[in-house]
Amino acid sequence: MPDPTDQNDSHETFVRLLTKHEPEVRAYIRDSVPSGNDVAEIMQDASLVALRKFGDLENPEQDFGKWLCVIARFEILKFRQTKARDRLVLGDDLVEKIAHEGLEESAQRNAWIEALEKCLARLPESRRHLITEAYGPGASIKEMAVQQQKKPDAIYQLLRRIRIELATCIEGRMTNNP
Amino acid sequence: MSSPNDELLCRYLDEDLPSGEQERLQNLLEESSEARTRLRLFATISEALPEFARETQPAEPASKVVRFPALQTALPWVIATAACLVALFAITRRTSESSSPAPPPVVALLVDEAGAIFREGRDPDTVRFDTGSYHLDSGAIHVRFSNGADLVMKGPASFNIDDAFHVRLNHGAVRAIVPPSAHGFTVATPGVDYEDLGTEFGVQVDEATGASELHVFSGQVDAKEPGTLELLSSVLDGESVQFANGKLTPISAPDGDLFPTPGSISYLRWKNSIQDFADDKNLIAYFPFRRSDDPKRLRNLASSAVVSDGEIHGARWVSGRWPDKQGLLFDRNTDYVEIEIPGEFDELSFATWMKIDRFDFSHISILDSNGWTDGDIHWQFNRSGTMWIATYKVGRQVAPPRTIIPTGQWIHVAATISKKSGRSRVFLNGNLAGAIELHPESLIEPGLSRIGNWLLGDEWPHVPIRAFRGRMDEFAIWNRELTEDELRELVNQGKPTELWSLQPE
Repeated sequence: MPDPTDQNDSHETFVRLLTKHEPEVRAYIRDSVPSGNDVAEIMQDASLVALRKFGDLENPEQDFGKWLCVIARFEILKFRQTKARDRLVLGDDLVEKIAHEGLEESAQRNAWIEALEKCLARLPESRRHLITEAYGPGASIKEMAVQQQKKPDAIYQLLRRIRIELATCIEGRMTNNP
Repeated sequence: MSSPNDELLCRYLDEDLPSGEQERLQNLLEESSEARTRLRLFATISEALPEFARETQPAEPASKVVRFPALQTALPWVIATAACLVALFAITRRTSESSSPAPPPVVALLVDEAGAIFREGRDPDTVRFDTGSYHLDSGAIHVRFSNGADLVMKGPASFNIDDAFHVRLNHGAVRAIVPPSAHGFTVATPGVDYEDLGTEFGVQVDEATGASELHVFSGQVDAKEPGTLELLSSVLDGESVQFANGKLTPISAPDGDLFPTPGSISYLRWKNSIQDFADDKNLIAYFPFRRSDDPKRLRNLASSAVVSDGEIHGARWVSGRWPDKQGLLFDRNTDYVEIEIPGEFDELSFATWMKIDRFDFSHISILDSNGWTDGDIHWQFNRSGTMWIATYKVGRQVAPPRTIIPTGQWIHVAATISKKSGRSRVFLNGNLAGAIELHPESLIEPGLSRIGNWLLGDEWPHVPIRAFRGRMDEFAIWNRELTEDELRELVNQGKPTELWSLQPE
């Protein structure tokens, strides 16, 4: 008779590992799927598959992040072939290549996320505020545009510039901090 | 450094790509691995910013302390999932169906393959298997069903997928690995159905007679009569039965090679890639580490071999990346393989698969010219796990090694050295791990060299020991500078399993 506490432990481990690795896996999915909403759906599907197969994972502490990315990769393919078929921007082979390369970048993704935190802290207050407004729950760029008496395009443009600055800052930190 | 393409990548991630730019983006990403890395960086930023914003919302109560990036998006449903997986599935399906025309559900996907050739008209739609009839002529495949069941098989095999729980095997041999979520998964054969009760098992069907064999590697499988589903026999762990002429009889354990495992597909992929690989004109040494009649000789199988065969001193034959692959174990100070790399070169590249046991010395040799005078090269790592390749005339370090090579797992390491590009570089699993600008007068003339050690005792009595501790199971040398993309392809061809990756620790 299996010990029922085993299952609870395993469930706790699963939730803990999912919590730990979710940001990185979401970032991995976004590499292949431009829409944030689609990422959420794929993340959900991948996590359900992971939950069902969690017992098969031999070395969860070591392999969970990569394992979940591998599952997510199949969910991405499935998603592209069914729900997103009519709005694919990039070709299948290319997306497969991007996803394949990204699979090996787990450590790097985590380092990027960590560096992003530091780079955000160094942004001028006004820019940080703009990000909070634009990316916060229920945000609407159109409303922001009305409030700030700007065109929505100008705000999108500014947000792109901030992300490019953040990318440059992250890469700088990667080179200077071995 | 920002690049003119950053704007394009960001607009793609904003789903705001101007019309006409789609092709430019596709070409850019196809051609440039830097652009793909940059896209992944922007994707990471774009995905993390909402978390940042959510966490710093001024309206939120200040009492909550959550390390960035907080996780408030997925957790509620994960917890819900544990409580009512089935109900949640139903909801997910309904919402997605209401917003778009219902696509046919995917029954199974191709997880991995090696040299798989399907018969025309009986093949999957790229990686997707729907219900229907399939015929694998040759090669090996690993198919995962939507319920989590895995089927691994080698060609020739013919099968029908009726749904995610029912596969009919007409002939061939399959290994099924069935998690609890797929209990009841059935492999039907002529005259008998094999129904899984949480297990790993193999089924083989003879093409001519339709007679079948069942081998239960772990767990329990019920053999049932098709139609009536009457239980004929429960077959347990380690047992095997045969169904022929309407009768089920116990038989002995199967031939080990008959039922491929998921890992054996990676081995097969590697084996398939070897021949093309060995025919590369720039490849001057290729040691696949196959034991030959002479156990002291490491054969160089490159078609354009320039380098000698290797002489094995001390290192012992053991298993490599896969159970059937051979490799050499270096675990004593006197273990090494000696090769001769004759001549002077403008460029060289080296690559090997290795598994390091320990860092025992301050310098550890991967491949070292026997001496240390003009022309010699040393490819090494140190006790803290950083790696470099250098010529005798030392140049300036341009990209300090920041990658620590790990112990206890198979890794692919490579080194390139080029007078044309004026640099030497090292790579871990296809990723740059350090670079040195060559001295303008560098000479590349490695000569007699040792894999896994630096020369001991004889001529140079006081040199410190640089013995490698661990396994190697493949070693190659080219007379040109390999690109990062080429190295990544090598890593891809030789990775130990589909799940293999470099662990961060």
